[in-house]
Amino acid sequence: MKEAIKKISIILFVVVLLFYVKSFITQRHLISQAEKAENPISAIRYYERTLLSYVPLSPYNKEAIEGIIDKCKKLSDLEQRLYCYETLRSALYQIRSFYQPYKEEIKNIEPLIAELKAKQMIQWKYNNFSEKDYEYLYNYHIEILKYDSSPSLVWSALSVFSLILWIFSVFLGIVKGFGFSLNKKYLIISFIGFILFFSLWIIGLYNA
Amino acid sequence: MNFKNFFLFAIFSLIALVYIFSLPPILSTGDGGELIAASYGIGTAHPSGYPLYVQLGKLFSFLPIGNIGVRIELISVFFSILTLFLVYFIVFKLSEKTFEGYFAAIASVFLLAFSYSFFGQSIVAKFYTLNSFFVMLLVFLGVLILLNGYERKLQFLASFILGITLSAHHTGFMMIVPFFILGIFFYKNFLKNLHLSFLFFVLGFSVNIYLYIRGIKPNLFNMISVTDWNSFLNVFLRKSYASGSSIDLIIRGFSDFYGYYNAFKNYFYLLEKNFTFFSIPFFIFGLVWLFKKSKKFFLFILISFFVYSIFLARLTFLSKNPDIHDLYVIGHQYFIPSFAIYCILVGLGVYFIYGIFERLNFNLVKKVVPIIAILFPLLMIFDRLTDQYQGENYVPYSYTKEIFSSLPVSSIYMTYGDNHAFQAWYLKLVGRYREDICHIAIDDYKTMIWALQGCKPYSLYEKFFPELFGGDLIELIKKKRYHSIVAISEKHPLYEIVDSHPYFFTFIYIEKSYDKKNLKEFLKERLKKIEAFVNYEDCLSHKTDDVFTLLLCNFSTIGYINIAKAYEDNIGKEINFEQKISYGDTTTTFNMKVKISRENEKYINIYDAIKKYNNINKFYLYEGSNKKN
Repeated sequence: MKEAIKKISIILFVVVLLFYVKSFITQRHLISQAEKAENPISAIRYYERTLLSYVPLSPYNKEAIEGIIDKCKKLSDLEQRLYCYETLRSALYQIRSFYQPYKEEIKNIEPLIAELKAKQMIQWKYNNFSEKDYEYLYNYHIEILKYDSSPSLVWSALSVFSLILWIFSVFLGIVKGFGFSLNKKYLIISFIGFILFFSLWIIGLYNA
Repeated sequence: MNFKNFFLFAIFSLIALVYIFSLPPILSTGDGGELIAASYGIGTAHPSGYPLYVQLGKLFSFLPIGNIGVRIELISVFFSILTLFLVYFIVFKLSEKTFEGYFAAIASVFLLAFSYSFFGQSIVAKFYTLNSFFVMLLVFLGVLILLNGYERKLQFLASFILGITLSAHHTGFMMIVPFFILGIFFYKNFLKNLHLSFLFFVLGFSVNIYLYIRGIKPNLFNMISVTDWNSFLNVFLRKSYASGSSIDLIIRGFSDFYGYYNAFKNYFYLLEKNFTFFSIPFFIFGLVWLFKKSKKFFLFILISFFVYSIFLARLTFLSKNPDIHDLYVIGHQYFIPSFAIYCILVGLGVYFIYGIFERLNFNLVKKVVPIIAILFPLLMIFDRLTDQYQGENYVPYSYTKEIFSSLPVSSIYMTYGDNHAFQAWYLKLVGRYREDICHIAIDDYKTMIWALQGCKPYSLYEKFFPELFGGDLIELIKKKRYHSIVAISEKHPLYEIVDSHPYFFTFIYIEKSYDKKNLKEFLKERLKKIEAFVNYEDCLSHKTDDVFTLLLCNFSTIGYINIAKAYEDNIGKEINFEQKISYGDTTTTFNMKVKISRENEKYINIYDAIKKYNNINKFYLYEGSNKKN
């Protein structure tokens, strides 16, 4: 069993390492494409993709964020500017893991997005909104932008790790406990492990 | 680490490297978007819910590299490598860990790793490699029992894994057949320990409790919520697929035995496309070797192979002439476990031939053959990098993002079927892009019954879409904020009051009474604005023959005709563009006359280029099928 766990860990490590290398190479390629792009929307797209290949501590992350913000400021068309800020926000949300990188940037651009949306809704002549509706529209959009329906990080992490551990406990119990004769020590340990992690799994799922 | 282990490590690293560099950079087409959204939100995917896959997806989403989509695609790479490792180990163990057996095992690993469908499933967000892993693990346990003799712990382990397979993919459970036959006929203790086996089976099956716990509370994404026993059975047994439900499929396997002829023919076609005719003699040699080694081995492996090949084909893949849908959705996915068993037998066939050479004292041939046996399947890497490589396939992401970007603030976006909806769910729920848009999904062209996963929480969206939630669609249509993938024809329920007009990649719904001249001006103005977001490069550089990618790109071509129309002037040659669009069993026609001049010919060239690059006949499994039919 130890041998199997060792082999699985090595495979997992190699997969993650190669993935890390691939992401870094991709970032380096995309950032150079972004710098070469003549069209601002096209440059934003390359910066976005650089960010989507996120590598912790890579200098290209910040470079891509700054690149997008710089392009956003220069765009005069409201729809294009909205596209630009939304692209940055979405890319940042897509790279969250057990932490949210560049949380501050999201906080800064959300009011800008709500403002652009409120303005565009007023400008859309078929809506029958006027300037006096601005505050109402702005508040509505900011409410949607701030609303996060993602599951709780702590509870979801607890549930998935508990799942792995209760499955492992049953494996352990079977492999070590049911030899030619019963091994009570392993059966008790795995039974306790199973009860504990199974319960945590259920609690985690419910609260996540 | 000795040379043998180092070489093995290098081989598996090479395979992992090729897979990782071939992963779609954000999300894959088909179920990809939905499975990623369900995993991220620890929700319920389409029936049977796939609770194990979704929870593993959540685990992988914690990896702080890349984006959430590509992290979840890594599950396929990981379980694919584990499956290949088990294939290696089974061949190596059966060949008594000899030097020749080592090479034969590596040859079978390469053959499987770079075969068309196994490679394809190893790089997308889907559960087929996870399922293959469980099947191979069960085959491995069976081999251990046959090699080392009966041990109750192996029976309990197999029962536990069989229980777990029902939370991964139902076909994994079919391994119960070879195990049961093995137990009943060869091991008398099998029945004695059946009651405890059942207990472990129930423990494995209990992973499905997930569906209920995540169904009773509102969460980010549930395709169908499980809230009681009936809804559990509905999801778990895939009852919503009617004749495709799990129970109906099994019953079909024991009726109309003529269907086995088509099943065999179709499955044989897949074998030929995936492994070429050259592999078949080795497969037969493998069977002969196994038969000579032990009748029990032969029976166990043959039954395992039969249930995952011909029997499964009889259940799901028995059309006389499989169409592109059958080949892509069934042929390209379901038979991965059988391909793994096939490669085990091919590996044993190679080993058998070594034995013959040795007996005949063909020493030189014996030295050369291992090299050929390894290099020959290795050559398939180049084929895969030209047909399955998706490292630059941004289409499912960028296509959906362009649609969202083209919509006015607070619009309705209505999709039809899985492909468009799943990608929109990813972008909206995981990417949180344009949260002002309310995405609704329909599955039946002739009704307006929609799913609202892309418009939650209702309490928030209700405030801004009172028309939709109050049932007054016309008011919303008047505000020009109702967009859809669906073009309206006489079969559509809104046909009497609403027209659909091409609007970039989608259609905008406009009330029939609206002034035509104003409409023309409106569309012209909007399309000129949207043009800034146009990104045709992705449809001309994705490099894959993935059917859904090709379909999306083909669908996108109407957008370029629309823009060309917006830029047309009164001079130039008029060309009529006609394209059939299918929504299940309903087909509508997109029809537009455009005058081509210098002003707009660029878009017509893009249209032609995309059509040419995304020819549906490019799909590798369809290519041969076309010629054949």
